[in-house]
Amino acid sequence: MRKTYQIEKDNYEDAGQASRDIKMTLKTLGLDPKVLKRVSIACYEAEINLVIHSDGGVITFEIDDEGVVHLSFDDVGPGIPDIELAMTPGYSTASKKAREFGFGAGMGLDNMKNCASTFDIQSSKEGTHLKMSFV
Amino acid sequence: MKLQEILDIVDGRELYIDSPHVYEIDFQDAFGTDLMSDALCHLRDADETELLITGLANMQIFHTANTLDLAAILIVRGKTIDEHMIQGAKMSNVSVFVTNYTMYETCGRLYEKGLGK
Repeated sequence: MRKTYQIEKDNYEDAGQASRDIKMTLKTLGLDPKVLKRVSIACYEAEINLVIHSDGGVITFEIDDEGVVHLSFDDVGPGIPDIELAMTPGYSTASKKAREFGFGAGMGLDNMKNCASTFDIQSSKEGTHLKMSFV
Repeated sequence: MKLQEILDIVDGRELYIDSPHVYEIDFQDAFGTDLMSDALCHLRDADETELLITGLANMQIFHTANTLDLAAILIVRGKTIDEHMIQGAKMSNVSVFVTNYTMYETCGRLYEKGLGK
């Protein structure tokens, strides 16, 4: 099974809907609740990041024949200048608006990494590409 | 602690009930924050027995509760939610309550009575 979702920059109203749909799909498929929780948290954090920090992008969700969940987040920029710094708990460049919606604590990437079984992030000015898998 | 007791302690009232089951849950703890990022970090192992207390009143509180498998949100400072937001709560399967007390006093009252001790 494979699904994709378009995510718009600064669309705080709809932010979280893709993650909720992915969670519902995995719940219906009978995924282990503990794995489902980790997927849900990481997916929602990453979706929020697309809304807050990117110029828009795509979420791709896939579950393979062995039940491994794969999530990809591919945006069109502006990129993360220093990934190591961005991964530091507490470091945030979130806007005032993002904070008003309850985000921007600087814990997102670290939280995602802790939830995922594999975590890979590449970034340039042309875009950021985040891949996570969950076993 | 059952929800009715929680509401009595903080003079709370219902804004939206997703399921009557919420009144049967024995709440063990609560987490008070306006930062959903913090809730997503600290409540990774939470379940429906955790109450989310917040001063925020927007769609993201429902998405956060849904992500964390929480059943109830208590909004402080008397903020209410409109019909559009009630639809958001419904989609997220979360019940919503409100108290006029501040975050500080809400948490203090509930902790004093044993929630989370």
